[in-house]
Amino acid sequence: MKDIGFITSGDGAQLQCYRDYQAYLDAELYLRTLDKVDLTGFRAIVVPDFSNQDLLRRHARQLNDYLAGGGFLIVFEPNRMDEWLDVVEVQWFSRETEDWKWWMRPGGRMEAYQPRPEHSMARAIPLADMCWHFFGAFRLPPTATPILNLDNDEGCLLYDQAVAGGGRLIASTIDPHTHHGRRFMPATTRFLNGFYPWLKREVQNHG
Amino acid sequence: MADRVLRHDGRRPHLLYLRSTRSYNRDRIGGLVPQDWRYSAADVYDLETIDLAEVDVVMLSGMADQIFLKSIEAKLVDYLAGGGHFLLNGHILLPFLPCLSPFRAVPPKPFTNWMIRPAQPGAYFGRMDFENFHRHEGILGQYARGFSDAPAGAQWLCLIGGPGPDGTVLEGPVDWVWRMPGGGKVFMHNGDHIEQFCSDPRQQPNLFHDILNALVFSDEPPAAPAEGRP
Repeated sequence: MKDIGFITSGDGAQLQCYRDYQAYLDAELYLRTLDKVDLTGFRAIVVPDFSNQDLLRRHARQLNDYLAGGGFLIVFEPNRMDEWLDVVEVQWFSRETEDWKWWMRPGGRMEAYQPRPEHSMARAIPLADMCWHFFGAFRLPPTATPILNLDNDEGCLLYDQAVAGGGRLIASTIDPHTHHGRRFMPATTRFLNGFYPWLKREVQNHG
Repeated sequence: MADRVLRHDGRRPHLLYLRSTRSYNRDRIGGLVPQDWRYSAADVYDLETIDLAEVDVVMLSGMADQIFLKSIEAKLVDYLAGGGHFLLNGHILLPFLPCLSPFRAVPPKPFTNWMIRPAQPGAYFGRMDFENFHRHEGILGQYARGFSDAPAGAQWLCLIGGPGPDGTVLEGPVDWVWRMPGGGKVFMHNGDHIEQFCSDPRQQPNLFHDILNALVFSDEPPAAPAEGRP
């Protein structure tokens, strides 16, 4: 079994990300022909931000079956996973970043925090490397562990959820691949520099 | 392929915008293309089968699927060879036309490396204020972070880049236009979406209109490339 499959919609940013993190990834899976791929051959599948939503809907059954069958699925927004993931309920809601230029203000911060700093991903990726902006937020599922929350727990931007049947979902409303792949916003690069080594360790430690 | 000369029928050029899901401005382009042009939009994957005989400019967003585009390269080359023009955005990773080269990022520091400078802006960028036109809400870098090598004979329109930490200078054409000998032109913007900059119809001079008109009506670059370039 391979460790990590990276689904690509073929745009420049996603193609760039696969090249940059290829040391941690086992296969680039073309979304348009995903039906030709046996996803069960991967311990984890990453759906990067700004994927082709039409194609995600077309291949939704396959992704749902993978998760329901014990797969480890990681999905970033804006992909409207609430509209095509049905083996678990995802409650996404619209929420704009208060000030997308917060990083230009002295002492500025994005309105988010890590509520469970002991989570292995929070230990691997500091808060500063999770903050640039986001595309909506989630209502936190009762069975999920929040990794990045809006202030006052107004919503969740990144969570980790065990799924019946042995599956695992990580859902996030941040968009690191698009910005790293476009060479814009260093925090997104730092995020991915922490994320892919963390993911590799997770799948190797937990099978 | 039909003669390209009459694609715009001497009256109204026709721009075809290929939508990709979540493309920035995907529902705005119809309001940005000059109202005296013909405008149509289609899903990018329709490009495989759509008839381009009546299309003067094919416009692709920076989020277009390059794996797909590479798979239909022969059709794209035929369109260009027949006199059709391309307006391309984005970071090229898989060159889907023979004239394209992979994106090259320039060192982001010093920040002046991301300042856009004129090369031979011509009718495309000639009316722009280079101090400001490329800033989005005053921020450098939203316009572009690098360039791609232009083919021989291309007109370099705008430059980006400068020295890196070790003093090595990496500079190149962030925007360039090339004419296929005997065919149409390729306008390449090595950023995300050129239409975000000085291109609202309420803005004059209007960059998007200038680029489109120069692409279809100007003799830049000339059919027979001049010797040398910036």
